Amino acid sequence: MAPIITETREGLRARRQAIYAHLGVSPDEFRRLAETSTLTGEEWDARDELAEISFLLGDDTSE
Amino acid sequence: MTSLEERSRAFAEEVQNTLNAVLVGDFEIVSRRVEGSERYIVQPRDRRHIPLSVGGTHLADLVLAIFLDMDRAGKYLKAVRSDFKLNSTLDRTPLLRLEYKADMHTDPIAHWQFHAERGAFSHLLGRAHAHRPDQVKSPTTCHRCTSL
Repeated sequence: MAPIITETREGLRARRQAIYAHLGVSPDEFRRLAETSTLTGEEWDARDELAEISFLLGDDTSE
Repeated sequence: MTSLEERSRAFAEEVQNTLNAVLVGDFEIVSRRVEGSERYIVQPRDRRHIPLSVGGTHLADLVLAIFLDMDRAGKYLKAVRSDFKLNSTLDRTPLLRLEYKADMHTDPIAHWQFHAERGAFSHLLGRAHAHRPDQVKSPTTCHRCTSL
């Protein structure tokens, strides 16, 4: 059977903050960027990972 | 272990077997969750991209994530979202995207997006054509390809 990877909520929240800090943007700024601009490869990865974190934390209802 | 956890593992195993049947390479499909939740994401371990090669040359990556949540009855797992991408190795951005989102209201629930407006797509098709001209038309002569 495939393995289950169990993450902590604190770990995911810290990872989300680290992504925004690395990109140097706020959540709102990145949301606008993703909606209106051509993303770089790094930004695409960030977009995907942020969506995954929001889903796992259950705070993706407004997406 | 909950039955939903078992089902997510079984589904991840099914995805693993399907990919093993059509792709070469070393990758492991896992099911991710957060403690105390019954939401899962089935995807490669450590969110790794799966390398895709043409004639032994790594030209693209497969990126996939399947989001599982309980259905309205709260009994069964349901795929509520999935993201499949074919990324160019030239700039790591998508050439193709297949996106499914069960609660989508503005766009179709499932749709393809082709990022064919740039050279990376022609590069991939050109290399594939050089390797298998009987299977892949040249991007410089294929009118259907250039009009994507």
